[in-house]
Amino acid sequence: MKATSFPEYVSVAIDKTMGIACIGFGMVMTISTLIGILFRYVMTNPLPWTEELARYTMIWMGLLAVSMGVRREAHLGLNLIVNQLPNRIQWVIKYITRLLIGIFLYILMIYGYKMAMNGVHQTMPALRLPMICVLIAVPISALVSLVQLVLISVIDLTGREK
Amino acid sequence: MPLFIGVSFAVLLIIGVPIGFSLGITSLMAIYKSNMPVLLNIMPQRFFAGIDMFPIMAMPFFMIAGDLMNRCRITESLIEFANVLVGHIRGGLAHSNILASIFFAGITGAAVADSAALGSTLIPAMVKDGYDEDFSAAVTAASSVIGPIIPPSTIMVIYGSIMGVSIAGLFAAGIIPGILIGLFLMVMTYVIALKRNYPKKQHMASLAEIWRTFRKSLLALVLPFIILGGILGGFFTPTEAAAVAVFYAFFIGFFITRTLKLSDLPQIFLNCAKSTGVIFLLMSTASILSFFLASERIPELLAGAMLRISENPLVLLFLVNILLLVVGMFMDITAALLILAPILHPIAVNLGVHPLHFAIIMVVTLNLGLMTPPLGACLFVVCGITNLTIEQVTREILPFIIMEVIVLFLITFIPTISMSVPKLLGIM
Repeated sequence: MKATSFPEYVSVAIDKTMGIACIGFGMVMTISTLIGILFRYVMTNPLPWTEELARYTMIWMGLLAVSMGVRREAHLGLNLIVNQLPNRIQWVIKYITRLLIGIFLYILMIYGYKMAMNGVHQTMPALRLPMICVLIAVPISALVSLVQLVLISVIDLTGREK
Repeated sequence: MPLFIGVSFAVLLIIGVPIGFSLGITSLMAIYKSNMPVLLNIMPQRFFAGIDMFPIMAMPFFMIAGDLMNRCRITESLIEFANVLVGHIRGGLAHSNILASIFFAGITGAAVADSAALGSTLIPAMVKDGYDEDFSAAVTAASSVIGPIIPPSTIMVIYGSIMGVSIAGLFAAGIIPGILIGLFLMVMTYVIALKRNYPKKQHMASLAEIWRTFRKSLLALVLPFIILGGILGGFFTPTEAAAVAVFYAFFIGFFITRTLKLSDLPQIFLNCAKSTGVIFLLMSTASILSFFLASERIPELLAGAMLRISENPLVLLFLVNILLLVVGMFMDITAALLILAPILHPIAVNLGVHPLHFAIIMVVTLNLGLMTPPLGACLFVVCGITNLTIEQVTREILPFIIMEVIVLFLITFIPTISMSVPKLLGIM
């Protein structure tokens, strides 16, 4: 993947960052669960926080990865009917769908942020951290996905270098 | 309102909005139509709650474990072992393909991975042995749908998580149906092989040969027993068993076969994250929409409509079969499950169908969509390996589809097939 234009450069950079974050969260999730098993069955002294940590890192991993799917258009839909239409109409429909997705992501981001802010005073039962630490993954996921959606639309409009 | 929701969703799907976003946008439209913007606050909460579940973590773990096992180069040993067992039957390699799919099903939880791993080795080998290429591709695609039916299975993890059905029970219930599909495919393979005079191995393998190949594939064959034994024996939750599977596969690849490098790990975790992201978006937005569906009492409305057709559970199950077969042809299996299970499951259970039995019916039926045109994911994989067209493989896969539909009806109308193992283990 070689970035040839500024939007593409930004898009690739964000994607790489998300990728690295997802790998990190995935590894924490795995190790935390394994430590949980080790302490429960081998040392018979269960740790209270391993399940929670694993669950919340899983949520971070999955939600950040949504943006990677947006960038690659990996979120599947039914394209059977649209693909039968003339190219020009396909192109128009594609931008209508992207606009709709953008509106959804924008609203999810705004209200997700409100939800996360309400989580400032709630505490996770075991980890004793404020809930905002995980709730904020929702608006961040929406924000990054929205940015990627705009970027790929701009890249498509300006024409990808062949 | 129900009509409005249905039509909006249909329109969004038709214009090609990804299903995950269609679910979310439909919810948005429902909120605006209801004129209660305060409901917008519920949207992110449901989005979050849709994936805030410990059991679902088994899904990414099984993905990682499957990917790790693939890199342990176990595919060849499993195929070799299968070939030693059934290679002497007429159409030997085709039977080996099916049997290897059953073995593979105990390691991976997704059909596409099976098609890719087995197909890239077995299709060229079968062609070299004198089989037609389109037939070889068809057998590979048809047998890889066994993957998600025999545990571990990511689709069962999703079903269990969202519907609150025991994942251990689902795993147990899938074993016999999965093997049954394998047997039926082998019968059809035998018939076709006789007609076309496909080759077979000259003689049965000696016990020594069986033992040698068994030992080579033992490392892979043990994994399903660790997973199933751990879960069904009550030692582990499915999530923990999946994490143990990750550890096991890592240990094997790193210390025993030594085919795994530490530098492979980021890619494995990245692949897992990407697949998880796609599924999480579906789960989250399906969870938003199901809230609005429930608040409009739409599942009850649909249930009423279905019960007006018939109150006989058998008739209804038959209709569900047909509905799911059609939906499965056009829609991704996870999306179809997330949309339809919350509606159909309660109806069936109210009519006295056992939750595990119904879950197996849904999983098996939707799985058939992986090998049916126009959108069967496994078809695309084998076409990618062989450069055949979908039409060419479709012609050859048709007899296998018929066999699997027969098995589907057997599973649907004879509950014992799926229920005997859970009953035996006392988890139902």
